[in-house]
Amino acid sequence: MIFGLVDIVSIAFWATLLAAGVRLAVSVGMAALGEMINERAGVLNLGLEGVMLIAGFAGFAASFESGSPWLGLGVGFIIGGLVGALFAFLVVILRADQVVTGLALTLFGIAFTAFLNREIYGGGSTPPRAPKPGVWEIPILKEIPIVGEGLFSQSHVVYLAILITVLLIVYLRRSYWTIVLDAVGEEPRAADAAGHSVVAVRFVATVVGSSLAGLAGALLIVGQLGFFNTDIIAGRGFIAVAIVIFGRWRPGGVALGALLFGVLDALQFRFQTLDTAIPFEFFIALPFAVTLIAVAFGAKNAREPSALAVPFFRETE
Amino acid sequence: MIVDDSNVARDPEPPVAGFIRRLFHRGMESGIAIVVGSVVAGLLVGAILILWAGENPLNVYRVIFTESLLKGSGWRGTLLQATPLGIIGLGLAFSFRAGVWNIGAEGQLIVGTVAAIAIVGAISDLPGYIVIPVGMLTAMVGGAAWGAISAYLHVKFEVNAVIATLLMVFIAIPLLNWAVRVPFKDPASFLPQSRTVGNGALPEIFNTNVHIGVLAFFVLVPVAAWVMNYSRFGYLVRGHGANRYAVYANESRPGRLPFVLLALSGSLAGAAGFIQLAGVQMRVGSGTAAGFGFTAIIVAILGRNRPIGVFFAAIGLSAMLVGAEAAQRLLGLPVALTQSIQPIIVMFVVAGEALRARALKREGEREAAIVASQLRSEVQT
Amino acid sequence: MPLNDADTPAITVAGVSRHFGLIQALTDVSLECHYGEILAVLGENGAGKTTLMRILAGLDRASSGQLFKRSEPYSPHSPRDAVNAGVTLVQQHFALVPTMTAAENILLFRSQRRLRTTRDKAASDLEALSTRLGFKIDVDKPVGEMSVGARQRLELLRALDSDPDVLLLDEPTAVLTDAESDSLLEIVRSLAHDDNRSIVFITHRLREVVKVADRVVVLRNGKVVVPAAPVDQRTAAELASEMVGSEVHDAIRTPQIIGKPRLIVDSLTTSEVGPISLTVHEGEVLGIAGVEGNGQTELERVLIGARHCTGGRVRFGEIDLADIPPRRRIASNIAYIPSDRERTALVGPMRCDENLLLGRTTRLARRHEKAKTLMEQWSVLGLPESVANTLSGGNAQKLVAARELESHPELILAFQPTRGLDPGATAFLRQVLLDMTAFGSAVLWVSADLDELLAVTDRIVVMYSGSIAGEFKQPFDRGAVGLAMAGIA
Repeated sequence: MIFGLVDIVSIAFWATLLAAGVRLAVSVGMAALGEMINERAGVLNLGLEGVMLIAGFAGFAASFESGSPWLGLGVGFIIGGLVGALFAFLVVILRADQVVTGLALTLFGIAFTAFLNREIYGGGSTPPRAPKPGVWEIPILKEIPIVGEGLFSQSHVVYLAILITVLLIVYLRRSYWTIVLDAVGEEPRAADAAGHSVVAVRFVATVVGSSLAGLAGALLIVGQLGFFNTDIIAGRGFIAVAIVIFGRWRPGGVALGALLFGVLDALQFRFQTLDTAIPFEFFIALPFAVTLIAVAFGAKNAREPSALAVPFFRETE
Repeated sequence: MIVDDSNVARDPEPPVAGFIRRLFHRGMESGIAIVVGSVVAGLLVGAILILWAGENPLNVYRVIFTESLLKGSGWRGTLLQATPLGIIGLGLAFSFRAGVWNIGAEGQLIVGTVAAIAIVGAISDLPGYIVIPVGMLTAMVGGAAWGAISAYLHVKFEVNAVIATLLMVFIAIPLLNWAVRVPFKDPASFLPQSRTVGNGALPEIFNTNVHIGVLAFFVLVPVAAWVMNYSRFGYLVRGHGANRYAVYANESRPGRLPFVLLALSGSLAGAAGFIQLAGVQMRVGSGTAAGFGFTAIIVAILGRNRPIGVFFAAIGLSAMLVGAEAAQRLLGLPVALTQSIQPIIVMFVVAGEALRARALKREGEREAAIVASQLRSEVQT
Repeated sequence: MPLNDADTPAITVAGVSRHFGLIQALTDVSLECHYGEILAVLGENGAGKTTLMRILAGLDRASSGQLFKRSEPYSPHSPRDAVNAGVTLVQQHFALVPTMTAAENILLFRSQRRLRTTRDKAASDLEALSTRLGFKIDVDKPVGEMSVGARQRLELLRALDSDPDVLLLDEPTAVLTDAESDSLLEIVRSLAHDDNRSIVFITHRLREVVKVADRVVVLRNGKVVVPAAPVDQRTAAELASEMVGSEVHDAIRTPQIIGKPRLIVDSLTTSEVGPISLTVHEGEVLGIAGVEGNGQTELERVLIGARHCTGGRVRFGEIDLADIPPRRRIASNIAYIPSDRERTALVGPMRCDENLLLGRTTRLARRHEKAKTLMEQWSVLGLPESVANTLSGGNAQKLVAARELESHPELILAFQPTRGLDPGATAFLRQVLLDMTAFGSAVLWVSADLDELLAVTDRIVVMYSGSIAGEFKQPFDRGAVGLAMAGIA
């Protein structure tokens, strides 16, 4: 009897935890997939956080003004690409330092969205709310124990994110473009000799990666929260960069890393409300600490693209 | 080009013109021109944003300038903010110059400050000449230790330095919140904040309302400049930044210098935290760090990782922030606007540097080829 | 020999010049190559051979002059243009992505949309092609895990994938053993004579020219010194003097009286190499021969203390070399000339005088005057305040030699000290290293160039797949050393 009760409690606990984990993994996972694409072409974008903020804010404004969260997601995707094009112009075409440019982009995103939010929406403590996409409960499937709630009773944006992730995994495994992408990130001279433009491939990869990061910002702000606040991404962009390392530059690994982070994040929220002897701040720090440790143990065996953050010069230049 | 130059040098030239020409040449060579140009470009972009926000850019920039640099209170505010920014910036300049990306100064400052208040809070009744050095030392050790954790992950586990230092910030922030909520909370206060530093407060410089920490910053700048340019350590730092493998093959073992630099810049971040605590804030609260650690990254980059440059960048950025606060007070223009101009300036700087590097390389190769052919003909004759 | 002299030439180079800034790489070069013919372009390092190939393959453009393909004007702007015109290049440095499989690498080079296929199709094409040429290749193995010989064959297959009628080979045998290069040359010969392709073959190895080429052009300092002539009308000795010119006299070693042991490597092992045992004596030059990638880099890293060994010892007097930091190594008066020059020898963006301080105890304040005398002494063509990466390869290596050898070191660890240098600098470096033995220095000289080692060393040990495959004393038996390098001892 007692064991039965404990079982039910723990199954319910794990089911809700997984559901929340999937929800929390969506945004960071999408950003990490985007970053993975530009890193595989040899471009390190530490401006991810800034892209997520700028695109997320733009998406929120579009959603708020039009009343359509789907428009907001689309705007986030496009603005992400545009900001990515600016970043790519600086680091791929002018060959500016990728680390500094990326950090500047992040700092710019934080301050600039705070400024816009204040100018347009007052920047108060009770921000205006935009409508969110609905929830789609898939009958029967959602009754599956533990995973049912997590996978089949979620907001539309979660399905969108899962769909994009699956498409990316399949596409990257099959397509010709993957070969070119990896060649540009590993051995740009070989790609150049094969007649592919290293600069063009890097530019496109950065724009695509940044579009996905923009979508990631919009997924969180438009799709899940429905409001904007200063610095609302709160380090998730950098977590995404870490997840790429953890996932060893493979879409499956990255998705898994994002899910792990999401579950940790969910666990953190859960523990915060429990009255334990451990201070709740510990749980706030936990996802970051675990990510750091996971990266530390993964980093030695994970081989980053050889030309990551190395600008390409033709020998005759 | 080079051949022409030697002809010009033989022409009689008034000393003033020669001085200006050399100054200009030196400016171009050291890249100061890029920074100045970038600041101008950044302010122009800012002007567009200000116009959009419905203000007159000239008026706003005038307010920012006069309120931060001309008025007495503004001057003091500028110096007080420039001090922590500059001290952290000096540490980061060494780190960045060596190519070690310490992005976690914010966390190192937080941990240094928390460590300092833990000790100072307990001994705040002792005389200042004991409390201040003890507090300073604790803050530096705390900051260095936090930097050393990142360094350990970076050196031993090969975690990217940016990730290793940055994620530690997100661990330091909850640590700070807990520290002022539970163990070091002032029992007399309702807010989550620590006791005051008591006798640990930094003395003023002759009734100027400016604490001696500012003096420490002014002294530190030439010392750092000397170390960077004329000491063996500075030589290694510069060499490591330019080609770390050559340093590892001929000087010290891999990882040793990054470790030292992360600990060093961490200790300076801790020192800045203590100066801010004992000179301005008097207590630790959850808003203690206030982004100094991140703004200092901009300071180091605008100072082009050179101590003298860091000095001017710290004063300049601090003035911008103080002026921006005045502009918010007087004109209702958000501080965030000024904060978004700063990274724009940084982007202009890195873009300019990239273009200049290419031009310099080309010119350097030309010059070297000419020198080689001259020397060859000398050898033959 | 099916020479189709009556036909129009497959490829014609007419008065091509190329300069980089003030450096004249090619001056008024003209040559032509017919179908079914192998034309060798012979020249020393820095003679302009590679620049010529890069222009033909669309990787670089001529400053002046013209190219013709079957007497049509031909001016490729990119490698893709060249491939479309039926011209492909096999590069000296592998243009392959090490993390990808052979099939994926082939696919990478099918850059035109109409040529793109699945990985499986590329793999089967590759297998079919390699079978036809008479060798096997593992199409699903990452290229990084293949032997250098296999990589060179893959590189050839890659170039043949687009079925070109003109094939350019840039030192294709540089990293191969004698046996491996013989079998490659056999394939090259059949590609020309049986498939009727036109092959331009760049090399500085006379042996290969004599063996495989139909005609030969000799380049020196970017100029054609001997226009194309049938190979069988020239002797190897003639070609050698034409290639090198009269200005360079190479150092030839006369055996020295050998002193006490200085460096003793005693059954050294790491996770990848070993066991290695060797001894270098006072005043002796010990050569380590071997094709690159047979453990020389690993040995280098152990000797300079950058890698721990799992067994054995490296003794220099009382010191265990494998265990000391760089500064102690330098303080013990051991010189080190690294194989990876750009990465470990110099700090490129720093000034020459600062580079001369690296690892030394000279005070910073004295660097300029010190550098001035040193650079004059070692005839480094540059100023103390010049930035090191603006120096030419030869001058940069002289700067390294000045820093390392100035103190008359007791032990000199020289790894590929002359690789890629122009003839003048090569001769200079060889001479100063040999001169050092007169002061009692012990020299460990690692080189992939067997001819160099035969000329300058007292003894040679051969490394093959991580361990010692043979030891040879003067007078050397070239054939025996070559067999040991191929692992047939």
